[in-house]
Amino acid sequence: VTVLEVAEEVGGCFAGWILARLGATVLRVEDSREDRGARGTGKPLSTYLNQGKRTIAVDLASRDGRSLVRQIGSTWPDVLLAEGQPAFVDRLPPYDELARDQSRLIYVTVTPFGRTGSWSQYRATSHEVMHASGAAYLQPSGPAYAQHPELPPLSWPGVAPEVTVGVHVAIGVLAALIRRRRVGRGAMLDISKQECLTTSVRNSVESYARDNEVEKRESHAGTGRQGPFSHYPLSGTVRCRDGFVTLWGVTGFIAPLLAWLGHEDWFARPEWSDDKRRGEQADSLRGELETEFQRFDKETIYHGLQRRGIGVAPMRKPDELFSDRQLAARGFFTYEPDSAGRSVPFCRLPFVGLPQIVGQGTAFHGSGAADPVLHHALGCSEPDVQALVDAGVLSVEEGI
Amino acid sequence: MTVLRGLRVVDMTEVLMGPATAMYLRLLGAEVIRIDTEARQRQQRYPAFNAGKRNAQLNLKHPEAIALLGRLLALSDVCIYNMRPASAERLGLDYESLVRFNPQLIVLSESTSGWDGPERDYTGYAPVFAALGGVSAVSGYPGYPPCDNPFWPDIESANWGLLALLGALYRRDLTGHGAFLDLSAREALSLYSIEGWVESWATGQSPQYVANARPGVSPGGVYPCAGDDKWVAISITTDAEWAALTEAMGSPELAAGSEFATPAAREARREELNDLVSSWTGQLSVMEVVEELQRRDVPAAPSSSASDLLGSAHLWDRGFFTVPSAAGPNDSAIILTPPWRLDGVGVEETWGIPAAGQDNDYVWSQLVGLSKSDLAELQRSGVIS
Repeated sequence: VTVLEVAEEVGGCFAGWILARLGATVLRVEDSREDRGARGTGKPLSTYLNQGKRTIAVDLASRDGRSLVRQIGSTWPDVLLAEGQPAFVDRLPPYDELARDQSRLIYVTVTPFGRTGSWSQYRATSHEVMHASGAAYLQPSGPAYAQHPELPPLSWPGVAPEVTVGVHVAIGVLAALIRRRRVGRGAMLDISKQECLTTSVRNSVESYARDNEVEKRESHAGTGRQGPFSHYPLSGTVRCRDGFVTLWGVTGFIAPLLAWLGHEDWFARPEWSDDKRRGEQADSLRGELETEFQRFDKETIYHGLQRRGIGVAPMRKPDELFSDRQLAARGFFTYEPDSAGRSVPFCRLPFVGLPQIVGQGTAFHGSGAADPVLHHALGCSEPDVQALVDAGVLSVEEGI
Repeated sequence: MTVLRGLRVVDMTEVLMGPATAMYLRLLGAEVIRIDTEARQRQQRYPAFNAGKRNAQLNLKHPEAIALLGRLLALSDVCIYNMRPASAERLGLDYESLVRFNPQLIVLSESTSGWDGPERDYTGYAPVFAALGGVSAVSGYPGYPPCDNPFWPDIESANWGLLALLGALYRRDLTGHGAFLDLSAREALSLYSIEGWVESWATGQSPQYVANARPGVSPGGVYPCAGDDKWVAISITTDAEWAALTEAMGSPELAAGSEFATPAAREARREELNDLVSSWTGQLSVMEVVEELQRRDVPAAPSSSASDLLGSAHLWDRGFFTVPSAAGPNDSAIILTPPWRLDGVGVEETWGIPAAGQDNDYVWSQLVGLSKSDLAELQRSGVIS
């Protein structure tokens, strides 16, 4: 499967990264005039997400640049993935024009609010999209926030919203590829980032439609008193000696938890043993729990309680994932040297059972103007590619 | 023509993650048979995730259940469950056992940590996945504990399960091979903190997230609007956007002056600017702010509640919500369609939430071929219950 990726932000770039892991040949086209978002020259994340992709840069506002994209798009790819602000996607050749020459083309546009509807021309970064989706309205979540409903809604951290978008785009592409095998024709996919993220809180939206009660941040606080957590009294973030753990369970987890803490006798106290009272006195009981947890570090709590079947986890910082023994045992990261001899943590997709291209061979974009994939995509030979480079129509990334 | 018409899925999932993956397969046109018990049905908290599925009963803990399940799997394409690997093994649901019934079967296991490694049988819910994935530690407001991140990590993990399944189905179309797909939810959530671990590897420092603020975006964040708990998200990254914002605020002199002339100057005085923007947005409704700014090409959007979303003409016009016409009293009032709508993908007219065992006759008699008397005997003996 060949993918022409013309992505302005992380979402499209991440989708291309997933498809490359699954074996697609991805040619990434960057706008040579832009220096933002996923292109963000020199940003570690964009470099990382461009692993295994061929990359060229053209001026998408120029006639020559657009003509080149049209030429490639109408002949080479199975999938054209166009992601960015409405004005960016508008600059690309439209589906109807390309599909005339290539009816099997799968053309995916990914914009903040989709290509139809009254918001279709609205501009938005992932921050606005996240808030418009309803997902931010349910954050911050956790018992510490129950007393602070005045805090504004909160976005997920970093590029997490764009990761969600990228996964949905890759799903849409796979669904369209399966459909193409069955019906023999391509498709136009109009993906709205807002809808991708609203889908992540679909239980909240569907519950509101049924019960007419709006879930808010404080009802996501895990206090056990209200909202969707009323059946999880005492669940949520608990401070311990070296950080925080998140503790989750229903009725059955209290007795083994108290036993592990060496306080089996507490279970005889009505406020600990009775569901209703536990909910009513969740704040004071949480205080007792927090005092107890101060005796332990987060890893001790994690393994100690998990061995008793209790759903608990240490709140790990992103860089702590490299030392996670479970991820290591499953080979989630593999380490190989880059061209400078530095060890690179290559990461596979979060499942095993399908062949994936990870590690050696994914770190380099190819061999510049001599790359046969580029010749195939452009429909010309190395001297012709070099002529385009010399004329300033395109530049070819040599590798990372 | 729907994408997966003709495909049969056996759904043995519970809570949120597994039912969500199976729901997407139903939305893509597959026949999804949910294996249920009355007890599990009573515990179901998210009925909309089972809309449009068939429902057949089978007591998987009964020693005779696996043979009957095998007869159904022999007629199926996909089997999904989300339980701890040890539980799946105890029930005879490991891939080696199931593939004997159907060599082309695709089995998707969704679990906290996957089938290998020292923590494979640790348990978890959405906040556990987010904590282990490096997401929760960097969520929240400065000075407060991290967020728990309930629910959404379940649905995100479900999306990865769907992606794996579609990849395996595409591969099966090409090669005829089935697959055992072993999804780890903590691995899935590790990709939502990818920026953090990539930057810490590349530069030795993790990015610092400060609530809704982002480097290079000032003013930027969430600002209060008129009304109860109404907020607008705004991002200013360029001089042109800054000038347009000050014009909308009726204070073009802010852009003309030198004190906020550059992005660096605006970033250095972030708090001061946030106060200025807040005092303007607080006088207007959220949509007045959004429309004023979008008219000037400035990124802005409301921070929407579920109620706001269901009142969004934009989303209704796009067909994002569907009202099932044959909904029963316990059914969902609306269903969200997938964000990757293709021709023919979506909710069919009769799209109710099935009662436990409502399709026992269809599944066990019509499909599997049990006689009426055999079915009655299996119900009496507790195999089908």
